[in-house]
Amino acid sequence: MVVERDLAVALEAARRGEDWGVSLLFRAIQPQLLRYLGQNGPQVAQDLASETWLSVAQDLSSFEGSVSDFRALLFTIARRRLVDHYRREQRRPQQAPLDDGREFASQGSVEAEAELLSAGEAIAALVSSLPKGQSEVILLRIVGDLSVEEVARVMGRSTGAIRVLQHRALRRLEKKFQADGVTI
Amino acid sequence: MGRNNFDALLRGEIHPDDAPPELRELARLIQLARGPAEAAELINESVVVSDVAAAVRRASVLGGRSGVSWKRRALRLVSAKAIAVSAALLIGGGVAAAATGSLPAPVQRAVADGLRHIGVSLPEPSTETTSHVHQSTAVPHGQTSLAKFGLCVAYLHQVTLHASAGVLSSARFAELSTSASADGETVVHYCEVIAGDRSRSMATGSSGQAETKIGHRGSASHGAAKTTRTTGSAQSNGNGHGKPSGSTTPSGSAPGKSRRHQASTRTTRPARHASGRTQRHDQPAKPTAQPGRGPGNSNRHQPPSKSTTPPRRGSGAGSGKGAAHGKSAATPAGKGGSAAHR
Repeated sequence: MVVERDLAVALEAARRGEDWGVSLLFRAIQPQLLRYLGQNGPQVAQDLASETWLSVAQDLSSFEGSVSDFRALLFTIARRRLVDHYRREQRRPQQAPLDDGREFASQGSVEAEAELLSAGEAIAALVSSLPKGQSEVILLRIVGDLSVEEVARVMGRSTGAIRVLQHRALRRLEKKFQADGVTI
Repeated sequence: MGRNNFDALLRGEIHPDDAPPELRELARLIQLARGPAEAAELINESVVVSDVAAAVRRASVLGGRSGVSWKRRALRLVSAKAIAVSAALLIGGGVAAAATGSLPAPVQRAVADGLRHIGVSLPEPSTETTSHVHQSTAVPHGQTSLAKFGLCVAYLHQVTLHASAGVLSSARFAELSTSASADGETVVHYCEVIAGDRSRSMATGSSGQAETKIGHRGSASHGAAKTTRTTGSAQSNGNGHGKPSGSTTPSGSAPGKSRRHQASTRTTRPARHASGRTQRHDQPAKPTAQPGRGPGNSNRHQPPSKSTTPPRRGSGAGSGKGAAHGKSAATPAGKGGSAAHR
């Protein structure tokens, strides 16, 4: 697994336009981006993620900051692309989520089911029952691997507000899985 | 569970087996959500990576490495646009001012000279321009023929556009109205005559220029380039009042001559029309004998000494020159000079 130090070197190379640097960053962050954007379907997620990378590329040569800052920048742009996508699709019928958490909950054996779950399904199980704000915080924190401060920057809210949303989301998830008596 | 534990849980640092029973499943799901990349997630790696790397290199070549933020770039862009708009306004305003002869005399002369080379004819600074400066002490009717021509063209344009008499509400048009009523004519007719004369005189510009040159040759015989204009004017009008008074600029260039000629042809208009009109002009012109007032005004109101002089002939140094020296010639001699310009 690529560690943060390697990513820092890769980021420097990517700033110079070297393919290997971009490739390393892409492998580390693209899955996170797709999982963040994946609630709108895999094809849409791929398209939005590609747009995000190309947008970042315009300014990557002048980017100054750590890998964590770069990741936050990527998710900020991805979020904007997502908002644009929502606006475009506003009048179209909503797409059903990938899966419903209750379906996961109703399924039997914990260990067996857990091993069968993909990342996308696990994410759907986590956020499908959460309100929009809370689900976004959870996604950015878990999938995006961002800190509370970075999530606050990405979402344009205060860290206090993010902490409150995060706390409520975790309490809700805790209750949900307790009530279901689930062990996936 | 405390904040730190929540943070650790969200970062996937708490293994499900180590988590409290009520959070065990949550921890498991979080670990799954943070799992390693799947093959399907990197399916378009080669395309995106090559595009991104190429875009980065392109941006570097184009100066993207300047470390300038988007905000600053946007600010620069806005600043550049603001500068461009300001420059356009300034240039446009300057051209408009030059076209109306509103610039200070030296600037107006420089602009007129410069633009003449590209075929743009602008009014030359005349005594009227300076008389504007002294308008507080001068008679308010201090307008050059050219200015009147411009006013008339503007007036006729406005009348054509609006077809109403409300156009005269402007102070400058009111002045035009005063002049027309002094001639006993309607403003429209008065302006049509002026505009028509001006157009005709411009149409005959080439021959007039030649005659102006003749006038200069005559002045050259006197050996003083400075006095050329006045000499020329004296020759053309023949009344001997071409005393070199105010004009000190030896602009012996051909454009200058033609410019003078144009001005002179303008001033010949009243002569070609009923002399009675120019006579009527005399009355408001009388106060122009005030000290410090340019004779250019009085010039216009003088009875034409040569009412039969063809417009091109009188020109020579006539108009422009007379206007130029007018200031110092506000004496009886100046009057004579003004008559010559007519």
